[in-house]
Amino acid sequence: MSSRTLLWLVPCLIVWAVLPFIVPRNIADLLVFTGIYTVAGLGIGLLLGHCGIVNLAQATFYGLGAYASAYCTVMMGLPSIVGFFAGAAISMALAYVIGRPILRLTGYFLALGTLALSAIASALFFEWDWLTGGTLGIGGIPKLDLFGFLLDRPSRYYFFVWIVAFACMAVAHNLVDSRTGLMLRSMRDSSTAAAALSIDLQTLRTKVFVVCALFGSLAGSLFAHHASFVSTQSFTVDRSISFLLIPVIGGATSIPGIVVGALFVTFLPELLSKLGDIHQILFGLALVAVVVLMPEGLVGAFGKLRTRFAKRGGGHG
Amino acid sequence: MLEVTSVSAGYGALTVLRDVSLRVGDGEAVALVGANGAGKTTLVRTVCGLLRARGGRIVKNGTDITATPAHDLAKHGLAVVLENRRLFGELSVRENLILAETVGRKVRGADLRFSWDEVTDLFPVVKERMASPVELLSGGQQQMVAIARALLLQPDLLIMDEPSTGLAPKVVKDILLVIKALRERGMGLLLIEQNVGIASEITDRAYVMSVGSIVHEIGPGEWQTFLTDERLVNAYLG
Repeated sequence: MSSRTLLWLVPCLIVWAVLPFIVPRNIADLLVFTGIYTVAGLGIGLLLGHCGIVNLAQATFYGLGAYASAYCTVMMGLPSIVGFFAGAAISMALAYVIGRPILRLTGYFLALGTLALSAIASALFFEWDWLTGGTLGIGGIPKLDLFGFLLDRPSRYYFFVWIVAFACMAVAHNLVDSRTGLMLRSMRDSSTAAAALSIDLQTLRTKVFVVCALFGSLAGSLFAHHASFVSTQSFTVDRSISFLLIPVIGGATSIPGIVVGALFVTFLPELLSKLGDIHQILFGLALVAVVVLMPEGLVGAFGKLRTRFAKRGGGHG
Repeated sequence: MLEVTSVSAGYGALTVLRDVSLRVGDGEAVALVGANGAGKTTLVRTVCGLLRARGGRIVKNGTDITATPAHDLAKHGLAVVLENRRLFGELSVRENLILAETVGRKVRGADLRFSWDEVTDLFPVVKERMASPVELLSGGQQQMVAIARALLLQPDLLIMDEPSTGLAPKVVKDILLVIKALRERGMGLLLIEQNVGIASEITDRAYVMSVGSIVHEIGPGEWQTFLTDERLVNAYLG
């Protein structure tokens, strides 16, 4: 690791470690949600930034993870870890089965396909109340207990959520950095040329969709153990759109961009809500401004700005 | 051996290829020549599985590959260098080659026809520019990378679509030298070319294509007769 990397990494880690102890409880709570949304957003970022696929179905996998954790712990009395694994297994299996036919589509049709999946899942979460509790939901989901250490406060849960988020970031980074990542970049560059090079685009897209579902499910399970209550309200199409905003705002091809996007989606509505009834309009305007003025996301725009200043500085020297 | 029998193909309501048949024997070099819009690239796309044939059969080494998708092409010993190279510009030369090597190793296991070292020795330019993004290379260098990449798929038949397009005569000469070296190693070649001079230099025989059909065949030793017959050249190649 270079000394330059350490120079910014060490202060960042120190801030990360002390943050939950110095901020009010509601902010610590938002930071937990930022971590959860980062996990969910990473999968969408992989699909959007590296495969050019707009996934509007992440709330489905988020819901499956949350309900699996809720059902396993509350209804069946199983350990929390079983819920995490059950949610991940179900989500990945569904992503594989649904992904094969849906991912044959391209462009708007593919986005509509994922939107349809989200709408169907949302309706099923509502209709299958014998399993999901419907609008009444499932309550009493236990807080996670890590070797006798109860994660019952946002300041404690924060560390667990962010360690999971960092692990997911490492997985995403390794995936992009591997030969599979090269194939993804080639597919984004020219799908015809990639196919002519004997790269199986369909299998590649499905693989990434399955990884995206895994991240969505993990985020859902984390949410369930944090909120202690899950209901259909949390897994609507609106939630899928919120998740999609994360890579769009932060930057789809960059992992820090996903974190920035998650911060934007969790903190901005909260900050704007202090301004009264017009907060939703202001949030919408902020979104439009970012998308129009910074099409490569906040992190991409920051990178451009830095390059411009570096050039200007070089010119004077 | 590649056998294309009575193949028809097209886009939407438009039928471009009509009843096209051709054959490339093991280690043989065959050209497909024709004017712009004759359907040559459509035939390449059909053979390579990028476009579904509407009729007819495509057989490679005895296996029917008519409905085989493009990503299974390498399994059948076929590699293609598409028109305009179609490299991945953002990726470096090394990364472009790694992609092909990954697929090639999957197909052939340890029994490689072209090792990484052999391929990079064949193209010194490629070796020198390994770390460069492909988009920064000249057209000729990019063509070398495209051929090197195709070889790492371990083919026994290479399809090249207009490899000389937009290149300086000196660069074309270098590419022809490489193709000749490949032929000496027994590589089969289907060369799609508008420039009949180039095609006649490195292939044994040819098919002439016009308006989606094969309209003439140039047999072994007949290249010179064809090229000197102004009436034939004008009629088929414009």
